[in-house]
Amino acid sequence: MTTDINGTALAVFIFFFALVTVMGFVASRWRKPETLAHIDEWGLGGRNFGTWITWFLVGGDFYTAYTVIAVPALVYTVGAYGFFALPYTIVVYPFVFMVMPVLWKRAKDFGYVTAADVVHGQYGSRSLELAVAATGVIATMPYIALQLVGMTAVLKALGLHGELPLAIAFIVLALYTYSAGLRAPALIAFVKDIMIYIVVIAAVALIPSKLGGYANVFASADAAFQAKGSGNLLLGGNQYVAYATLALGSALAAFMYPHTLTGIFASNSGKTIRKNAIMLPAYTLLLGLLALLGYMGHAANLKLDSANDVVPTLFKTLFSGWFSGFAFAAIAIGALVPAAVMSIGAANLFTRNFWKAYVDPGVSDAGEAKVAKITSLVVKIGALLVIIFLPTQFALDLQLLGGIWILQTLPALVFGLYTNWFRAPGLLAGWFVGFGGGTFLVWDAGWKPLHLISLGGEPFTVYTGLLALAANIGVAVVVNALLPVKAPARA
Amino acid sequence: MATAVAAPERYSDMEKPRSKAALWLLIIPYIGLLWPPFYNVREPSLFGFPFFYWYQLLWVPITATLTWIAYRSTRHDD
Repeated sequence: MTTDINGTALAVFIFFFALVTVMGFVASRWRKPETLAHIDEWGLGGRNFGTWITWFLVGGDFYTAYTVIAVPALVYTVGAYGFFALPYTIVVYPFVFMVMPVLWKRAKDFGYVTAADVVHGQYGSRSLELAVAATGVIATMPYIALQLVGMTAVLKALGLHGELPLAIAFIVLALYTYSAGLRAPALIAFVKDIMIYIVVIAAVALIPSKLGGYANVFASADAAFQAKGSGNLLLGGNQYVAYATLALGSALAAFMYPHTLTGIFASNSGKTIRKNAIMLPAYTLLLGLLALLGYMGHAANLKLDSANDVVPTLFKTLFSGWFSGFAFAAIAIGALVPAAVMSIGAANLFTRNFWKAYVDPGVSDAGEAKVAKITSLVVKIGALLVIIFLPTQFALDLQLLGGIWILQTLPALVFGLYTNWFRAPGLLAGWFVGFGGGTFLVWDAGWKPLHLISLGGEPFTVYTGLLALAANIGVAVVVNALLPVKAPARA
Repeated sequence: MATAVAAPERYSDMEKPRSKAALWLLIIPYIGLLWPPFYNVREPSLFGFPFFYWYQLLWVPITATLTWIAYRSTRHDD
């Protein structure tokens, strides 16, 4: 792709970037609380976000910049199989509707800030709490790093090379997150999501007409897949199980992550969450259409260094300078919102479930907020260093594992909302087996999240995360049934 | 006074089965989407989209509608 700088595109990009920077700093005065020196305020925005703010925040935080870049890239490379993101982001919402209001209520009633707080409150076990908290932090770190990958792709298309632009953007983000907490990404999410909607609607309405209509887009992709001998417009017979288990497993994992849970805990009622389970699929429609940009890349005959360039190159080739600048700004800002919420979620975990649990149990409210703010800085700088100094593949592999890891916290976090039968030792043993076993299977498959199974007949592949979850639950049930009851669970 | 006390109980007795029934609707998207042989075909295509693509996109509004029906029959005391 060409790498010359388009002045108009760059100017539009910088304008929007500057706009959200100002908003990020102003956010500390938005819906101003009596004090920001409390983790409920800094880390959860006062648990007071209504339906619309939650919709923009969770939408902006769940459908990340990396998604915008990577889903079309996967569809560009492999075809139908990459579309699993669509059933994934549909079936996630009935689960959210049923489970998340119950979880929200538990957190609200007891003042919990993190998933690990909920687990500690339920089971009274520091080890299980630590397992859940540590899993959350290490699953989130590579996810933050991937937002930087998304941002790098658009900076590259703008002609900005090297690490400096990326570092500047991220340090600015770190500073306003430090001062305004969750209010910053919540406010910026409004701008980001509206921009992304405009870009995607324009893209799916205008690009096909330039490329001879959708029928031609699909036909060109089909021809390109046949020419290169891999990829397909439909699933192969041996991909059915992988497709369905990836969709289901990812859906179960999605709201175990600290950043999505932060959005849930920050909302003001169970009703708000239920309403959002109805309204958030609007973003899924957007994602489904966005995925088709991968096929449009074939129809436009793009020559790419890397599949991740398909979206930026498509915009640059087919849109005018100012609109591609607008689109790139939308994607780059789309990286800032999730990165901010992820770092806040990770900081909340560190503060509540490590600092308060082990270092300073008597920490004051203001002290908690202070520790969380500093941790969010450290987390973001850590992610930046990972992207600058380690190969991108490292972050990709870790993020894949992260999905499998975070899924292993589901039994500890969710089962206790419905039954008091489970106790900490069983759940901890289950987590250990799921985490360790899942990691081993992924390593064994050459860092692929799919496991080959042959039960006599045709072999097929299954999402490793779901296999590990099954083992996790099985072990938890067996250990729980075998161990004698020592103390009653939480009253 | 006695009727006023009894009334809420009667309501909840009446509402309970109905609200549970509506929640079962939420199973439908899992059936429709997690069994790819249902939809892994090209024809009939719609506006140039092969069936595989428009079928899955169609499940977005269907799921939202089913969730809305479940929402209407849920009591929001939180």
